[in-house]
Amino acid sequence: MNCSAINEKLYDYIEGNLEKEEECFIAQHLKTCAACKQHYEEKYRMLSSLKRYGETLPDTTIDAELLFKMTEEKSVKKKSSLKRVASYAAVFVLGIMIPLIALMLGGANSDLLYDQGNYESMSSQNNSAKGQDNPREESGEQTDRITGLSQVYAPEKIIYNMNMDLQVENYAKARDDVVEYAVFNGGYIENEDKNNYSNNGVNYYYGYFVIRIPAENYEQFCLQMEDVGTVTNSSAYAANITQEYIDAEANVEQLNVQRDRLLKLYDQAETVSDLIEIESELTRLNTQIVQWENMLKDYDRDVAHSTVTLNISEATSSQLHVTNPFKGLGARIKLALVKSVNGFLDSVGFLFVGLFYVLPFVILAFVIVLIVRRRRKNKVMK
Amino acid sequence: MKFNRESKRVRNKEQFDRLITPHINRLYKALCAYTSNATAAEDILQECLISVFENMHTLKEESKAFAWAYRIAINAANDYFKRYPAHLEFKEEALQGGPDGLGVEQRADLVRTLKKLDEDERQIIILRDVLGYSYAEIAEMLKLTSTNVGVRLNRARERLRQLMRQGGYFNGGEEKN
Repeated sequence: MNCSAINEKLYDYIEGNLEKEEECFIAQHLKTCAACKQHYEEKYRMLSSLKRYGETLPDTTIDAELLFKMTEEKSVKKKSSLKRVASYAAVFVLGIMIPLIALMLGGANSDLLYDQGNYESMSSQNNSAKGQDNPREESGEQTDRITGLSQVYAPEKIIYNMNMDLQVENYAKARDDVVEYAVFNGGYIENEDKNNYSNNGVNYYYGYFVIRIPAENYEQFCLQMEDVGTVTNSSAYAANITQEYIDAEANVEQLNVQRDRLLKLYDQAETVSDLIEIESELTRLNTQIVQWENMLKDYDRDVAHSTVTLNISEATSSQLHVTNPFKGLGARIKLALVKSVNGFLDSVGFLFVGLFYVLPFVILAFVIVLIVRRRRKNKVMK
Repeated sequence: MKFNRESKRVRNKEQFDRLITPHINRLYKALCAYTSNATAAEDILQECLISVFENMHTLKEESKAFAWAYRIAINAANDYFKRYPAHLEFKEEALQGGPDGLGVEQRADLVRTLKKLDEDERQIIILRDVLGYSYAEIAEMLKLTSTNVGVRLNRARERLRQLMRQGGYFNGGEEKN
C-alpha cells in the first residue's frame, strides 16, 4: 500500500471501520511517514472538531405535547367555535338578506321589478280580453292578485290594429296561408276582397283582408305574416278605450236604475194615459239600454279580437328576383354575425353588471373572513 | 366530515407519538447544525412538527418516518430563510459550547467554514460527522444509495479540509493536540 492509498483510507481508519490487519499496517505507516501523519492529524482534528461540535449542540426546549395541544385547540376551534359558525352565518345572512331587503324597499325602480310589472300587466290584459262575458270581474281579480303594482299597471281596454302590405309570389297560395294562420290562431276573416290587373299581358291578383285575431295571438299572427310574403309596409295602432268603456258601463247602470223606477210607477199608475206615457218612456229607455249594451259588446269584441288589415299583392316579375338565394347573402351573414355579437355582448354586459351587483357583498364577505382569520392567527400566536 | 377529521387526528396523533416524538431532539440538533442559529432552529422545528403532524397520514413507510421528517425540516428551514434572510447569520450566543465543547473561537471558525460548503456537502458532513448517523440512515434521509453517500461524503470532507486549511484552522491548534 502506498501513501495515496493509505490517504484514502484514513477517514475509515479514524472512524475504526477497517479490518485489524489494515489498521495495524496504517498505524505502522503513520509512525514512519511524516506526510501521511500530517494528513492524518488534519483529518483527525477535523472529524473530532465536528464531532465535538455535534456533541455540544443544544437540546430543544420545544414540548411536543404542548405544541400538539396548541394545534388541537386550533383545529377544535376550526370545527366548533361558535364565533366561526356565527361569522359564516353573518356572511350568509348579509349576502342573502340585504339584496332581498334592497329589492323589497328600493326595488320600485329596479329593472327586475319593472320587467315583472310589465309582464303582469300584459297577462292581465290578455286575461280580461279572454273573459269577455264578465270583463269587469275578471280584471278585478287580477288587480287583487297583483297588489301594489296594479295601480301603475291597471288592466286597460286596448284595441290593437295592424295594417300590413304583403308582396307574394302566388296570390292563391298566400290567401290559403293567411286563412290557415288565422284559423290556427283562433281568428276569422271578417272581410275579403279580390281583384286583378294585367301588366304586359300577365294577370296579377291583389286582395284586401280584414282579419280578426284573438288579442293574445295578435303578435304571433303578425310575425307569421312575414312567412307568407315580404312585408313592404306595416303600421300598428293601439287604441286605449278604457275611459269610454267605463262611461258606457255607467250609462247602462244609470238607465237600468231609471227603468226600474219607471216599472214601479207603471205598477202604481191608475189612468190609461199615465200607463201609455210610462210605456213609451220605457220603450225609449230600453232602446237606449240595448244600444249601450251593444256598444259594450262591440268594445269587448274589439278588445278581445285585434284587427289585422292585409293588402296582399302578387309581385311583378322584376320584383320576383328578390328571392334569388344568393342575393343579400352577405347582408344576411352580416346580420347573423351582428346578432350573435350583440347577443354575446349582451351576456357579457349582463355578467359585468351582475358582478357589480354582488361586488359590495363580496367585499363585505372578504373583509369579514379576513378579520376572522387574523383574529384566529393572533390567538394561535399567543 | 367531523367524524372523519376527528378520527384522522387521533390516528395522526398516535403515529406522531410513536414515530416522531422520540426523534424531536435529533431533528432539533440537525436543524441547529444546519442553520447554526438555535432560535431560528426552534421556530423551524415548530413549523416542521406542525407540518409533520398534519401530513402524518401521507407517510407511506413507517420505518422511514425520521428520514421523512428530516426532509420536511430541511424544507421548512429553506422556506424560513427565504422569508427571513437576516436570520441566516450565525448567532454565536445561541451555540455556546458546553463544558466539553470547542472553544468559542474554534466553534465560530468551524461554523463559518461549514457555511462555505455547498448545501449538499454541508448536509452530508453534518449528518455523518457532526450528528454521527450511519450511512444507511443518511442514504434514506437524502434519498441516495449507501455507496453514493460514501463517495459524496469523501468529496465533502476533502473540500472541508481544504477550506479549513485555507482558513488556517489547523495552524493554531497544533500545540493543543
